Amino acid sequence: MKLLKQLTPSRNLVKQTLRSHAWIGLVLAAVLYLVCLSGSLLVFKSDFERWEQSSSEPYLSISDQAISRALAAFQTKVNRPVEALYFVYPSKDLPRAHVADALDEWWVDKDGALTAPVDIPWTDMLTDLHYYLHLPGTWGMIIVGMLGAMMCGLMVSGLLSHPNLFKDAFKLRLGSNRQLEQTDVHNRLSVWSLPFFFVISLTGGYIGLFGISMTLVDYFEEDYQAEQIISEVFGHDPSVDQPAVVPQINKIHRDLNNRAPDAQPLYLVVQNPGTDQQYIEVAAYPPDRLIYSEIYRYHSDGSFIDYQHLADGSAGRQVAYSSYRLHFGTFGGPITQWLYLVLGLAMTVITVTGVNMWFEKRNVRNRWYTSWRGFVWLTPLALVASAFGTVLLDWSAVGIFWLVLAGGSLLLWAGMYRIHRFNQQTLYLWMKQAALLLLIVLLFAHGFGHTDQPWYWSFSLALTGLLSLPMINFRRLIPNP
Amino acid sequence: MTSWQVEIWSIGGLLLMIWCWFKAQQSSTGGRQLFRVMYVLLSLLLLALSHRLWSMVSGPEFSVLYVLFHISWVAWLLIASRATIKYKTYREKQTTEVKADYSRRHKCLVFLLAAPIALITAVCLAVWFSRLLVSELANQWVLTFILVPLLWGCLAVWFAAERRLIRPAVFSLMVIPLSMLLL
Repeated sequence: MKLLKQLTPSRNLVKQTLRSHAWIGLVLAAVLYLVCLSGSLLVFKSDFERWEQSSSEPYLSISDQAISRALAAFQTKVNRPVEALYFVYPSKDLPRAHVADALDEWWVDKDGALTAPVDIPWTDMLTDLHYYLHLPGTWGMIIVGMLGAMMCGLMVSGLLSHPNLFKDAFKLRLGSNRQLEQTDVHNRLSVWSLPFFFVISLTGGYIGLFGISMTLVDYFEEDYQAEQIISEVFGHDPSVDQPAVVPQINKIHRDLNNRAPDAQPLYLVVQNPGTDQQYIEVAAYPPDRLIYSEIYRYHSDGSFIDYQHLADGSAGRQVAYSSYRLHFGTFGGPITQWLYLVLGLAMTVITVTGVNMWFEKRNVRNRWYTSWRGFVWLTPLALVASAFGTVLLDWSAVGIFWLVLAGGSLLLWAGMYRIHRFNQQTLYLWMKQAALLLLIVLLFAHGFGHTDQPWYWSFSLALTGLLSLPMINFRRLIPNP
Repeated sequence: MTSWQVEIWSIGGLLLMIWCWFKAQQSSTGGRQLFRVMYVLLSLLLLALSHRLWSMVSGPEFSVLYVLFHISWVAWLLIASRATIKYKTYREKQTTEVKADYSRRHKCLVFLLAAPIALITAVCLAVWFSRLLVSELANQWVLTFILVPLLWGCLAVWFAAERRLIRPAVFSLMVIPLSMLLL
């Protein structure tokens, strides 16, 4: 007990950390909300790609000849020098292969023929929202990385500003007092999922700030350039100098099968195709590991060069290469995906309730609170509207998203506050209903021509269920004593 | 046991573990120390068992994450089942104005300190820490990259919490030039 008392932060410290928690949270709330919501959805990125663009019949395996045909067909199609040529194998998440370089990307059918260019503007919009907030590349990445860092800070300040952490661990008071309700939801969700938030924030900060940290570390390291640091951490490229021949995919696969029989190939890269420096890399995922993959390198004739030691190299290399799977939940199959979705949505709710608490504590009902709550409910509507406009009408996904979100929030900020008699709850309900209605229309309009028929409807049902959640009054599900 | 059975048993173990923790917390009042210790020990045992079960089918890396992540929703279910609800309407006098805590100048200074200055300080501190704690070069760099967001977040919290901004400013102004000289 004495130890617990000693560990309890002083009243002054609680006050100070609470203030900084509120400041940082309020300043970043809107962007945090967008990043958390888009991140939760992106756990199912492959499914969104599959849902958005219909292609050939789904398949889970492809022959070596078909891969060779696809690589040759792609080079003929683009007809320009290529630095690295990627072939992504079909998988359970995305049961169709695709071939790509830095500029073009094509779906491939089971026989290795190119079927259609990859065209998934809505999924790209969602990805860019999470990675860059639709800002120019490097700046967007730095700002999203900064959010990861600030979330680490919010966690620390949240813990310090909560002296009754253990005492209140099981309290949830819903109903009459809105401030109390928001506080309890905010605290219970955040305290019990702290390990998840810590992992997500830290890996997010690490991924987003890698570039800027690299630049600054490079400054302190007189003997090393940035490229040397990267190759020291992630492994060196092999030096190859022999005449290029057509890659012997069957020999490569045979060797990989003997070397790592349990590993699941993810993608194959022909590096520097057509030059004397040509070599092949196969990224294969070793089961039950968090690292993204091990990378095996081969000469074009199929003879083995080496592997990158991502699975058994230094601890730092393994940790660095595990961050992607940890952050995006691409391990452990569908149960982990659903778990990440639930916990990601909890993170979103924590952001919203945090801001609501601030307004409720001060009994403030002004245009800012109205537009904040409008922003929260406009975001799902903006996401659905942009999917509708992009998939059915071929409009710009980013344009529609921001038009609905920013335009709607501005309208609320400018006008709603003055309309006292207007019931704001009704307006928010309309937003939720409009999003659901638009989604149902989109799902039916898009669905009948889709090639993945049974899968399409089951995924659509899950999406509808997800968007119906905000309309459920969870208080009514809890028995009233 | 199949992986599904393991999943169900492990999650069941976590549910029981949280229930034991809850009971331990309830036993903290009224001098029932023995029960409290018993429940705490039992909850730790159940936690270890769940981890062991997951570890058998999914390996040590995944099992740690599964235990840590699944605790959340299992605990929320228990909390929701015990939630109290009041349906009385609660009305308070409401306002449209919020009194500002600090001047705009102070807020701009906090922003300057918590954003770029704290980032540079965080990188310097991360390099210091990793050089002190780790000998291998590649591991040092990875530790630096991982520490940067964590330290930046903590420094930002400190800078935003301080009423006297001179303290974090002096701290940063000492760390940055010292790092440039010594590292």
